[in-house]
Amino acid sequence: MKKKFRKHMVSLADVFDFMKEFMVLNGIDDSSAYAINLAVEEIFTNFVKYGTKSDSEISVDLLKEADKLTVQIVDLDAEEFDVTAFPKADTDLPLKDRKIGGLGIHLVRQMMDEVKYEYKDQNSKITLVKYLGR
Amino acid sequence: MFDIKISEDGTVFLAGRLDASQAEKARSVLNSLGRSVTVDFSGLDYISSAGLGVFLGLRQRLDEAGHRIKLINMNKHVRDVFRYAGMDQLFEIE
Repeated sequence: MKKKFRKHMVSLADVFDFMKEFMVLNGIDDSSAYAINLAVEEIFTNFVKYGTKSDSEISVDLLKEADKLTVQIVDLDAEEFDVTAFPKADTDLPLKDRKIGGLGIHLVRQMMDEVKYEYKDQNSKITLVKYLGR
Repeated sequence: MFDIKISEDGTVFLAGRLDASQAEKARSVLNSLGRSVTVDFSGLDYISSAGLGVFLGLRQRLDEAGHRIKLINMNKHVRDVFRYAGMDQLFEIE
């Protein structure tokens, strides 16, 4: 199930609606659905923040095969910039030294089983894999 | 849909989904607080890193002023996000 969205923060509500429809149709459990919602939001918002300024689109493609759920999120007009390559967030720092930068990708890595970045023909593609029921 | 309200006794109530598009709404309300505070998460279904950033900023600001913050009634998923981010160590969570 695939859909394109305007590369803007206001699209998030539509992205969540799209994912909810997929989760219901495929009977995805609440815990996995939450993790996938969060991972897609983090990648989508990173594409919006760090992508080119063009008012282009981001596609979100969801596929369920047995116990494996794969999500491909593609910025369709992007410079090469691997949003998954942020320095690892240090979650052990004391309060005064904590920063929010890099935390979104840290959460994606915690909650997904596979995260892969590819760049080709001005397309930045992140592939996420979640094994259901784990 | 996200909502944030401050009750007469000063408790902050959150409801709905605190995602990146709603973080500024949360921040604008929480920035008005200059005292120790309890935040009730019982109506909050979802939070992402943008929401965590709002609470990290609030915690740091209140800490500098000598105030406390307590987070109560989180659902399991929201609590897991705090834990994955290592932020469960920074907050009093009940």
